[in-house]
Amino acid sequence: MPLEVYAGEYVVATLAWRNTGPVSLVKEFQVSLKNRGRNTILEPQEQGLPDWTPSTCPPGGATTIELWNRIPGDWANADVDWRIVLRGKEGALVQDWGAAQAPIRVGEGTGLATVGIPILTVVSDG
Amino acid sequence: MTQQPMNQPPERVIIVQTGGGGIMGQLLPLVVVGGVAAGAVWYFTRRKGTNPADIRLDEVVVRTPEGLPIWEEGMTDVPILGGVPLIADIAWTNMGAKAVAPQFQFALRRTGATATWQEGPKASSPSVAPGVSVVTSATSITVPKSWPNTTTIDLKLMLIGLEGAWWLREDVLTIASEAEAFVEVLGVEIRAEGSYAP
Repeated sequence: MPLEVYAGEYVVATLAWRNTGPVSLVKEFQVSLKNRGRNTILEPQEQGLPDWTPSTCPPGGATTIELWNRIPGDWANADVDWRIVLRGKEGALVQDWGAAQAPIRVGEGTGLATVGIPILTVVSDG
Repeated sequence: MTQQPMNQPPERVIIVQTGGGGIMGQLLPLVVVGGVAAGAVWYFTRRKGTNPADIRLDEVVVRTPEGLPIWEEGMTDVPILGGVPLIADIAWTNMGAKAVAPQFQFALRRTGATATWQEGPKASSPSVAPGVSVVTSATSITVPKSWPNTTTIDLKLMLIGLEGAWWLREDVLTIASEAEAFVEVLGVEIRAEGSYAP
């Protein structure tokens, strides 16, 4: 079931991750969007948002972080894929474009106030 | 090569007599301990002509400079990061009749008989009286960041100036690239927001 959003709205990915190592880590993540029809990839910086969001986690601990991106104003009626990227690691951290995660459907018109519906939990192979 | 226990051997340490003539840093055939495949080794030797039990290895813990253990008994295939050294905390006992002030050295290399051992600085212990147990810490070189992900590392702990018998123990550390090491994704949820409020 796709996440319904409107052009101009923000997409927020809440990522939970665990530090399985012996030292405290600071990792940087981002959520990227891809317009299927246009084959356009959108990184947060292009929408005036921080390109990478740092997250600190103690050894053996777990933490959550919110990653923001924004649907451009001219993406109405688009089908949008998304992925989480760990800085320094090539490709998607969680799953690549068009994999099992539900896509984002951009509706016609303007977004309403807030549509806060967690729709998906995926577990990565790390 | 034969295995034999030392006088009052510490637990979980195997002494291997080489038949004499062992050379510092020489790689000897490894002994499988507890069914674990041969990998890295702890080397300890005895001073030529002295009782190998003069210095008894009681315990070794390898840790980060911040004090987080990355190797101790029972841990296997532990990932480590490039760019930081490893530190071996060596608990030992002077089993001889005279005070001793040994030097230890902690070396590592990429697993493989052709790789070169890279030795850390010598770590000196203050003079220790007979029967006394102490801990001496020895630092390795900085683990090279250039070593690729999944590289396995041999560790070698030496007692300087000694030759003859060898103490072996083994384990394998696996280096992991910092970019992806230690990050386990637990889950992701997405939602829409009408305004930006991080």
